[in-house]
Amino acid sequence: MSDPQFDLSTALRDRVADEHPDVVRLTADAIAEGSRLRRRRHVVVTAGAAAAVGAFVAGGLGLSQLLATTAVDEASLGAASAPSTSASASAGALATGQTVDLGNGLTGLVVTNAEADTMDITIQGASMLTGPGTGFTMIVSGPEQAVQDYWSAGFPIGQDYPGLRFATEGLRQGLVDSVPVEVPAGWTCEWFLIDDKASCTSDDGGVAGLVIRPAKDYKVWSTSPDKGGPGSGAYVTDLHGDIFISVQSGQGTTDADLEKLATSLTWVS
Amino acid sequence: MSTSNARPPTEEFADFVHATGSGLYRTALLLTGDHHLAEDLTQTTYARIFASWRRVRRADNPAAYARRVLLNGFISHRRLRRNTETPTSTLPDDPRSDADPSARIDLLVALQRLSPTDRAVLVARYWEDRSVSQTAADLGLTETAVRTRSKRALERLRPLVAVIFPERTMP
Repeated sequence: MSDPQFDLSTALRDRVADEHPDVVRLTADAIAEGSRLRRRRHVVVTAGAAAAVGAFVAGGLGLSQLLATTAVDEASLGAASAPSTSASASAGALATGQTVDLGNGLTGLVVTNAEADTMDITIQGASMLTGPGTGFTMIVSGPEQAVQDYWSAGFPIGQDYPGLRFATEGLRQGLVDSVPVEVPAGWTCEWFLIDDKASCTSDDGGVAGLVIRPAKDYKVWSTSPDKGGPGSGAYVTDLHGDIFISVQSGQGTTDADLEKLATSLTWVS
Repeated sequence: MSTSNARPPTEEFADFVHATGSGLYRTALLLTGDHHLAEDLTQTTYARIFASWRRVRRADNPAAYARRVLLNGFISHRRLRRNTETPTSTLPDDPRSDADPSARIDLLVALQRLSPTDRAVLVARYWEDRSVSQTAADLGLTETAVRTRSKRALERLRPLVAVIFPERTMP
């Protein structure tokens, strides 16, 4: 500060130097309140989607103009006079708040990626291309099996909207909170617990993948010759509580390497 | 085993609060002049940050973002309250210090004599050491407004601080 007789900076520092918040309580309260805020934001976005549908209909426009899918409000869209166009022809029209009927009881809510990052959703995949879907996430909701089928079909709407991300409701939680096994000497693993996966490399350059799986899948994995065992490209550990791990082959890893790795994993707890 | 664990967001956030909590709380205390209000403002700030944590954690400077959220939260809250606090150029009646440590509270009292925005400008400039342009960006003001408010606030604060900190403000 230019005025040496008036050192406000120092005065302020002196005044608050011994002030300390209760950081533990602050953290806990902030997480609780922040979680509530997230949920509220989600509700607001959903409400905004309904308003957007109403606005399109009121303006004589159907969502079919915007997407090659059917809008939620079929009756209202039937009254729309504008001709239906292909998605690619109007692909630039994606906007946050749009709700799209994807068929089979599925609904897709369009939000920006920035909005999506604040919501309790799980990004399941994304088109790697750049296009009119870039910057947007579609949150698909509906019957669980229908969601899985839609994803298995390759997230069809993403083909019309390159760049679009595909998400499902609910923040995915990993099966475990911490790394469940130690790998033997000679292997290095990078864990992605939220995805229940680890990517491992051996000192001699071999690659393998570890996948944490729920106990309910153990019977299938331990008895199906195409899922685990010699020649299958994968080995499974024993069941450990609620989980087990499948060890899957990668470039430069032999079947013997894989089996050795699987049998050498040591459960942490 | 060499691993790169995906840490739970709550752990990352807790580390962030531990690293920045004292600074942010002190800023809030200077702005509000009250411990309870400062706690509320700090908690509200962190709650907003946690709600967007996945985005904030990728920011270049999450701490700077937090400071900005706090400043704006403070200004917005004061606007919403349409508070009756009136800036004044007169000194409080009894800003005696008599070298008593408890008299240090008078600096907070003095700050409360300023308008919320003027106070935020001073806190940003002299506590956070933000530049005029940074303060302007943080508070949504023009640089001219920051200079004007800063000068005015200092003039109002100067005689009061001279009483509180005679060892620094007297030749």
